[in-house]
Amino acid sequence: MRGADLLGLPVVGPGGEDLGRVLDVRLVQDGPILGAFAALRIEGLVVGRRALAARLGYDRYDAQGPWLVAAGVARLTRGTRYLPWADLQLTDGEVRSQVADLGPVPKIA
Amino acid sequence: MKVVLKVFLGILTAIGGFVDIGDLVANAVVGARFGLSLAWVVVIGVVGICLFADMSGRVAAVTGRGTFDLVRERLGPRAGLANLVASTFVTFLTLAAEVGGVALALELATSVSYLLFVPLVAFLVWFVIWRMPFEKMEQAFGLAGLALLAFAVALWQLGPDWSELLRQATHPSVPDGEGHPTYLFYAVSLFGAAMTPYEVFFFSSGAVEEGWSRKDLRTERLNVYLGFPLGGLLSLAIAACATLVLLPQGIGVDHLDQVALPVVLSLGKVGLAFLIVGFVAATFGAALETALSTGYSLSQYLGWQWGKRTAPREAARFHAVVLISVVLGAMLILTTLDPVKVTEYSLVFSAVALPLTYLPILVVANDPDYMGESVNGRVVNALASVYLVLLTVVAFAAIPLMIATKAGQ
Amino acid sequence: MRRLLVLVLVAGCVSPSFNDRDYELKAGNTAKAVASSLSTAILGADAARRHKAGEPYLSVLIGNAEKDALAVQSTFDGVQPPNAAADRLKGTVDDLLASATTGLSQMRIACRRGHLDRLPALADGLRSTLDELRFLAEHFQ
Repeated sequence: MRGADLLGLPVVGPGGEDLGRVLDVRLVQDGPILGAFAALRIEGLVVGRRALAARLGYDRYDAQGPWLVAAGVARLTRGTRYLPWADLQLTDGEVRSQVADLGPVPKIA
Repeated sequence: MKVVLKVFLGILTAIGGFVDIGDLVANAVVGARFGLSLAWVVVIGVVGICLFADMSGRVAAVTGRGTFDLVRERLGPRAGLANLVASTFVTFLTLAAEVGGVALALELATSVSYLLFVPLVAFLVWFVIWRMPFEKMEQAFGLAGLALLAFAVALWQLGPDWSELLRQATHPSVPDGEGHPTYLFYAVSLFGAAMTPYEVFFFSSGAVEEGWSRKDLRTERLNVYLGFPLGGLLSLAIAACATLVLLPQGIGVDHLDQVALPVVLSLGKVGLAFLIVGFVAATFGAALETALSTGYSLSQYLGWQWGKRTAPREAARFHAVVLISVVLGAMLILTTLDPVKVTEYSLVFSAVALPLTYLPILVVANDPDYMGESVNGRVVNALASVYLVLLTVVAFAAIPLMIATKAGQ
Repeated sequence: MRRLLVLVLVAGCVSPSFNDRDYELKAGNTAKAVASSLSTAILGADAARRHKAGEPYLSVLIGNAEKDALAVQSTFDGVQPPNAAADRLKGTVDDLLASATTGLSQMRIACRRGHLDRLPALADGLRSTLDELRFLAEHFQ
């Protein structure tokens, strides 16, 4: 399975409740050295319902301008949550979270 | 010397892009009907296009990628597609209007019906894109477009009461006998003419074609901040000429020949000769830009090999899109739809598409992943936010105003 | 002059219904549009008088003005006058439109034959029509 195939998959909680879809895949580059670079590892998934607003990419950095757009996106994506890789199970065609209450999306910087 | 040459990209986009058939028509129509009472719209439009062209040029120089490439990556294929369809439609309509504009200018020189020139013009647009190197294209049409300065000379020759013109421009008011909706409809058209979306695609794709890097940013700023205000001043000269000569006679501008009338009356045959050269250069230059822009945006969206610099064999699909859009544009004009009307509608639809073009650019220009240290500064972002609100209001108002005023009648 | 008299009479009438007012507005807009075409051609003749423009440009300018005036005339012909008062207004407007389009086509013909020197005289002959059209446009706006 490729990382990109995760995008758009439905995400359900431990009791089968609907949590939204996979909007983004967070990667870290700390795997074994492959050629010149370290391999990428999936650290977690961004889960929510407003795919378009989330795609504008305002979930990664603090104080990313302009304020007007950032505030608008924040309002539209306030239901967006983060699902760490350790807390999920991949089943047939969906992602199952082992925790019901997901945390906010962490900033990168 | 190299720097001087590079500034030509800015001047081409300013004269052949800022002043194109849309500006020629909109400014003359507005000047003849409202005097200079809508000059403030041109000023706001120039500041806006400078702001966003600067931004998109910076994005192109830093990332080395075209606008639509990034729009698709950011927004995803589906939303990107909606954006693509809207922008390409507007650019295509503008292309048709420009082809018609070149033909109308040739009609003024020969009195042979413009329809007969349309196939020839379409062929030449395609041929120049196919054969002529990017820099040569810029220089040729940039220089020839400067002939439109005849409007400025004519204005000076007409010996206007400058203080009265300045008073009109600085004290905007709706003239007697005109309704507020009509005034606002023309404000939207003028704004659409000044901020035409294709200018930004062309500008940033041109920057990628010319292989700009961070080092070229200074040249880029010079291009934008020198070129566009020059185009804006020329627009105002067109409006002022119409204000002085056509408005007092109650002449409503429906044809390109009427746009030229003030220059003919003050500068005679020499003035007209300059004007025709300028009309042809500006509209032909803009036809090249819009044709290339349809190719740029579609190819960038679909991930095709693109670029005028790339050999046609390697960028076959890009060149095919350019060819098809030129042929379709020519066919639209050959239906005998009045090119001036096509222009007026293209301006309204441009206004509708404005946020679709400029919001993604603003977002990308703020993204540290793409831009690193070169993200927008606070002042630019504050200004851009004001424009974002303005663009959105204009986009939503454009169609209702068009319907309410029966397209400004 | 006779036409102007009729005009003043027509203009003095009060319009009793929406239909009448609508017809008057259409007449006013028609007059305004044709006045614009006439003014354009007259400015063109002015340019010819001062040797500021050549045959190709003036042919296009005057030809387009004529085409526009004919289009407006045929649109106005298609509008149904609601009553006898409107009939009188229609008669006046029709006369003015006829003299405008005839004058414009004479100018176009002279121009295409290269007789630019005849344009000023033809234009002078149209000035009274222009004045009356402007009066009408002003009154019924």
